[in-house]
Amino acid sequence: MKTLIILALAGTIGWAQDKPAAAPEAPKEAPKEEPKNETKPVEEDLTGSVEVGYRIVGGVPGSLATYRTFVNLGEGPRLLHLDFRYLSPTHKWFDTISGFASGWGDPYNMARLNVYKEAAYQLDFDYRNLLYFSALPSFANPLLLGSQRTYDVNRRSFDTELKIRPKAHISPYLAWNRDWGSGTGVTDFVNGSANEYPVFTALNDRTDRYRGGARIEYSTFHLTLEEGGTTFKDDQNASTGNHNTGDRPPLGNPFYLDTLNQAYRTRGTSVYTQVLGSWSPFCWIGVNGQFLYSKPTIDSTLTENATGNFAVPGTLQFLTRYQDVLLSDASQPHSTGLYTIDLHPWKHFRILDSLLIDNFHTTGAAVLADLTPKPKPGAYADRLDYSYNRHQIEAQGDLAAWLTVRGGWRTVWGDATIRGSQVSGLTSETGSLGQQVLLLGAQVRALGKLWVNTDFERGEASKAYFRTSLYDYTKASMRARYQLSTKWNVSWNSVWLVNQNPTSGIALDFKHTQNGISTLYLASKTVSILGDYYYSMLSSNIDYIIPQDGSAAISRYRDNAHTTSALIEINKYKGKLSFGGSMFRSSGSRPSAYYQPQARLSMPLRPHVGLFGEWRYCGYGEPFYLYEQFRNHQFTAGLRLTR
Amino acid sequence: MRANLFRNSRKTDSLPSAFALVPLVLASVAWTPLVIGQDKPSSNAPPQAATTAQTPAAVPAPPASIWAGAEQCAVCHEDISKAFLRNRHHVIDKLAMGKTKEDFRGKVCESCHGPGAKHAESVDPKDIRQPAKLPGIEATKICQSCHFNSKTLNGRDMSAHGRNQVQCTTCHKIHTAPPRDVSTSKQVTQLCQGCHWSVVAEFKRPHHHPVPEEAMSCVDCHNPHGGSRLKQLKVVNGNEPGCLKCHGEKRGPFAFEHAPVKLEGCAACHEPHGSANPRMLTRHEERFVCLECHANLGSSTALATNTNGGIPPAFHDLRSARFNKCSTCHVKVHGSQSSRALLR
Repeated sequence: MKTLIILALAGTIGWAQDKPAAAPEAPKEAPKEEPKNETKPVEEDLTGSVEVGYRIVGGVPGSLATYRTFVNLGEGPRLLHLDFRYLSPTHKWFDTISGFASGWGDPYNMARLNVYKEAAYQLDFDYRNLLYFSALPSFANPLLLGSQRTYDVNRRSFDTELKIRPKAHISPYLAWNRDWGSGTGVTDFVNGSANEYPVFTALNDRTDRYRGGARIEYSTFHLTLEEGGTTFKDDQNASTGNHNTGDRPPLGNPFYLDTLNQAYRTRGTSVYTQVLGSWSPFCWIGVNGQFLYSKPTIDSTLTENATGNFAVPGTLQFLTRYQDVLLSDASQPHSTGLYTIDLHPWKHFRILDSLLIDNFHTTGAAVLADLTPKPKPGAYADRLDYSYNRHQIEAQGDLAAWLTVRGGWRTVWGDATIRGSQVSGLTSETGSLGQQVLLLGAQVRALGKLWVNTDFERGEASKAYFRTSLYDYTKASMRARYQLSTKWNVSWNSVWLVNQNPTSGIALDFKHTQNGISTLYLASKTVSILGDYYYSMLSSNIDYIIPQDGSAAISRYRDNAHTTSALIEINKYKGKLSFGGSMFRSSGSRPSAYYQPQARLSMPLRPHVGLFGEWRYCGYGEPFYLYEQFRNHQFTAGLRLTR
Repeated sequence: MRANLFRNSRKTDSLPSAFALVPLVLASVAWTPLVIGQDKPSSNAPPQAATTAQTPAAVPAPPASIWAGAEQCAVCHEDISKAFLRNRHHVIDKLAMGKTKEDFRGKVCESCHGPGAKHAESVDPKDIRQPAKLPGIEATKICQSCHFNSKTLNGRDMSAHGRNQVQCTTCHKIHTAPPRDVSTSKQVTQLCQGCHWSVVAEFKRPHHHPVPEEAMSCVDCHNPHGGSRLKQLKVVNGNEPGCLKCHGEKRGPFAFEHAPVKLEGCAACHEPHGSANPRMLTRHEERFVCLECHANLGSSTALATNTNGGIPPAFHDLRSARFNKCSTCHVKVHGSQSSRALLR
């Protein structure tokens, strides 16, 4: 295999060597351009670069499952990077085709293509393929240490959009997107509260989105009308043919599962409408608005056939066979409207007024036929109502050429009705939302070297949907950048959030701060240093109820994390050496450490051909779940061809 | 005069009818006299241009002398002039009056920099408008004079970028950049990293979306130009959260919804950028993610605290390992088509 790859690489060198040979043809074509067109840029017809290589992955001392969950990079040949741009000399069918691809052979790969012809069309393609593997033992029942709640799924998406006459006053467009996933996993078959059995599951879902519309753009107004729809399918099959004693200790456990065939079959459709508009009749006013409406619907069928020894939930009755058929449907009309008015009465003063209204409700119904042990049809209905409204008015002004300030007010309100908890016995619960927020901000630009942006919010709530929602909160952030010299830039980021809900029984006290510094230093013409350090602290206390005895306790969460990364680049003798990496260390509720140093050397071999070698290391450790630690070295070597 | 030349060419005599057409902005009527009264020429442009622009019907077109022309600009700014040929904005040079709000053929540089004859004569930087050095509000207005009425910028004024006067030139190159290029995920992320590098640092945590792996970029979830949702999150399928573009199987609607998923979004339980906790959860143990909400003592408390949530039944003995991970049994935690308790 490696020989084949070496031959293939040698072949690509040959290709790259051929290209410069073709270069002399360019002057031949030059005289053909008789009319002297000074406005046309003189460019190569085809430009781009390719990076191909072979990766060797060292062993993974430690947990392979965790390695695959975090990194999942494998061994073998890879197309690491490809980009190109082709300018049509004739401009007959297109002006340019440009494309990009990366990570082919790796768990994450993508490709993009863009075809464009001036005043005619623009066609875009985007394809992605992500392997999603997750099998952390700590996420499952720790007594099982198995792969309960595991996924090994391949998710892919394909987007395409065609815009007709993209720069014209009226430009229609059509688009199609498919997002689909398939794979396997481990999930639980749940038998009331008696026991639950990890079983194999096959997952397969697909969503297709179709949309089309027209963008109408004139000097004083714009309108985009779009109509779209989706089709959706989701098939899940959980099955087993093995004797399974489930989560409960086998000793004395009378419950077990012998066979299972559980099939979920869901089909859905939706239609949606988008209207976007903006209007600027005069230079001192701009209005824009959106109206969005969608109505997804779902039909679902569940069939379940299990043998073993089970208990009928809520009774002491035992049974050896379990058969269910369940039909359900749901619908969710959702409408959103918003407008923004931008008033600009003076040159250095601006008022922004905006209103957002968002409403939806879900109605669901299910009909259950318990075939075994005895037919016991049941009907269930559920409803979720939601409304969210936000009004915001803000004034901004340039107090000086170097200072812009703003201040305003935001009001948030809404209602939500959800189904009641089983313990309360209520069919529904109602929550409300009410919040008043003061908004302040400033931007400083001084001496052409300093830039500071600050943001401040102080919100006070009378009602919130959930116990952990924003209630009485203060949020502030600052971003600053300073150019110490022509070779040295420093920037600073800070975020501060305090959220408190003093209501009895909640007592939420949440604090989160982030502070970090980043710098770029050009030490010389050949050496540059990029580094950043970032510290974040999160502390949360909230009362909760311990279910078994109803007593109150405090849920405490702490996360103190240090993240640092550095990259030093040395450009010498036409080659480039870069080394650095990132380090993450946290203490608190789930202390962990994750190191990812790396180094890369690239050297030109010939004009347009370069060699590169790369080393990466990743190491993960945590003191609570020692069995999830791993470390790994990866080496990649290959060629970079440019044109 | 405003900082833009395009809009100044509009007729102001349509002002009353315009107000009649906009009931939403009735409140702005109060500004009308102020606006007209305050609409004085900018120091960046010659007075003739300002007067002409305000009353184009009454005053003749500005004399050609205020414009330098792109050829004149190229004499001194040759590098920029050549590079600009590769920029999309070069198309302004070809667009006739009507496509733009002013005829800028032959004077494309001055479409953003304003009339440049005085600067060409004095060679003094103070005599030309330099958008990059203007205060935020003015600089943004220059771009918006053409781009306000576009689909991309719809909702910009509600966004953090819009409110913080992040100038278009922070991300977009005006003088250079090849036309119709495809940006790689890495390029996009590097661009955002210039300001949001602390967010990029969050992706270095063990559990993260594959942004460092270049399978995603910031613009897959966020719309840098604006939008209706907080954090400039994108929408999909009309008005649904952008997360559902890739996580379509969690979209629903479900016959039995899990309310926080729909009401507060994925970020109610997940840290989307990165986390030290499995599945990017907000807490180190899954049960705490659940129990922090499911801790209301029934209806009376729920009503008293105006919050939703109930307490699990007493047989959920947290001392037993099987009850330490709620999703062990509540498999369909994002919503279920068949189980009120989200069990299957």
